Amino acid sequence: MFHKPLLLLAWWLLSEFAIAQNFGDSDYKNSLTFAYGWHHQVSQDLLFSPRTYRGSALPNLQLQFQRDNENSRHRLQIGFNSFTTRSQEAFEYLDWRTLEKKKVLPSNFLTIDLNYSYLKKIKDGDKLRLFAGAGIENQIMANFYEFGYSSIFGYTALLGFNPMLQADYQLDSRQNLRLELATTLGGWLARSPYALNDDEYIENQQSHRTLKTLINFIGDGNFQTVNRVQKVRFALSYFREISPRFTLQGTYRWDLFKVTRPRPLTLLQYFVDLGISYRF
Amino acid sequence: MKKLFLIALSIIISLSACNKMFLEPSPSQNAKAVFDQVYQDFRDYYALFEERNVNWTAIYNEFSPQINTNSSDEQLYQVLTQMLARLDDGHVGLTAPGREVFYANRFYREKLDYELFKPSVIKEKYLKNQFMESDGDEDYLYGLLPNNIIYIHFPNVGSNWQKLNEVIKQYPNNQGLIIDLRHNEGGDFTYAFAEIAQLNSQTKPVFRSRTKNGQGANDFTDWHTWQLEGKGNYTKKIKVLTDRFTISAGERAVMGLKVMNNVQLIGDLTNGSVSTMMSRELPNGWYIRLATQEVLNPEGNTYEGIGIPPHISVKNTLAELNQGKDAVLERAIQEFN
Repeated sequence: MFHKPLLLLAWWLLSEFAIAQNFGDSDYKNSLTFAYGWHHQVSQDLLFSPRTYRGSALPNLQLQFQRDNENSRHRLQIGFNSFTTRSQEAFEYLDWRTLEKKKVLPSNFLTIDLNYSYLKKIKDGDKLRLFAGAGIENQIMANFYEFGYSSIFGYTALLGFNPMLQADYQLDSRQNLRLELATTLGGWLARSPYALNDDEYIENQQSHRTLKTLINFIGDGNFQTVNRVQKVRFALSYFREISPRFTLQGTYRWDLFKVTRPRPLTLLQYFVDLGISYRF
Repeated sequence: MKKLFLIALSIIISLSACNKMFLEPSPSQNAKAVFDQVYQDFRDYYALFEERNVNWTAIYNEFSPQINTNSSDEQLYQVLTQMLARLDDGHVGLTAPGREVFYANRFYREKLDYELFKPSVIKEKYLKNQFMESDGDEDYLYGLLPNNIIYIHFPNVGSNWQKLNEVIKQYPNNQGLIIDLRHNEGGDFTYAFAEIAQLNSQTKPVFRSRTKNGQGANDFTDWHTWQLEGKGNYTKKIKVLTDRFTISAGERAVMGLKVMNNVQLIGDLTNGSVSTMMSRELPNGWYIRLATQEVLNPEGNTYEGIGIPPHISVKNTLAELNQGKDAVLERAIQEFN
């Protein structure tokens, strides 16, 4: 049951990537970008707490492959973040057995993103180029809440379908700006159950193998539409060409992710990235 | 260019400042609000009011007058712990700044008979200091007792259980097995079931469970039956030692072992907290733990609040233990004769 959406997703990604490779008819249409920056998250997940967690991800990485054809653009992005977050100053409590003082650890949120988008040029002006298209945005989040004596695991995964708009504005021959807007219309959503550790959850992880458990968790999700899951992304990037092959870029990105069931989750993420692109 | 820059900057500032627009309002942190939240969380998630014969709303009404918006943290802590103690549940607890982790269960709360299990006695007197042990996530203690009886103690349930079959293979001429689950604080019972299955020849149901899945009193998932698979054939005697601090997944491991015909339970009743649990954070940043599952044995009975009864009831005494005698272990050894 759960393999079907994953197989479909893999097939689509591979086929689209193959199409992207075949479009090329001149040099330097492809670019590979590596970016790192300040990533901050504000989250409130009522499955675990009414409080708001805030924190940054020092370990983070963004990789992107882009192919620009005359009238279209393909983009494949992979991202990783490890957010260290807290809802309050750490406090000390006494261990039940030893009466030893222990400090509440920060909670950790791991996110992995794998996104693909295809955009078609809809306006080609002197300075302004507009693209419209769609993408699939796949985000897997693993949450490790540290509640003093207890550590609680939770997960949320969205394989979403996103309409998308991009506007490229040429500042001069070597600099341009890009504005991007995307929103999720729905998708396959998997999330921790209401009481976190139900029988299905326990069964899903009883192999104690990370990949199998992940596939089981995702497989237990279901299709949700925009009334139950909302995701909005705004990104503003500045590009400066430093050589025919290399471009520096700075990006500000803002993501909003809201889920209503089994209890509401709100996630706000802020990214300020510096990156370098290599064209080939 | 300047205009573009200003537009971009204003968008960035606006987005960065609009957290509150998307988040639920910050919860009130006064004592009354926290007290009410505890009541609501248990009402919405706790699965065992019926098994434990507790009228939660009546308890709330009883304690509620003792708390108001101006109550101190100390007053709130005292009232909450008194209220939670009524559940007498090993999975129910409270963690608050500067205080010992609170357990609602009487045995844990009062540390009743907690000192009646001493691994040091087992190591010195019975294993003659010939043992293997490990710390951390892989906790175990094992060795060979006289007459080639394997002794193994698991203080929790996790990947440490993989040692069980390794140890049996290590001593191929063993005459039997003592699995000591006294003071087993639980963990993930599926590790235990996977290892016990290697000893068991016939697939058998162990328990069925259902979990809260909504705020209504009767909102539960469907029943799920957990089985012990038959993947082996260890026919020698197995003695399983239990006490009042054998809890949670430790108790589920006992239930898994109990379905085997060659297993005998020796010691005291287990804790009687066989559910699974979850934790939640309160508006003031304290943490509660609560039980979210109903669990029934194959006969349709619950051990919740009762404990799993041993086949042979034996309890250590502190006086004997201080003289180096573990009566529970000695009785288990005796049963091999």
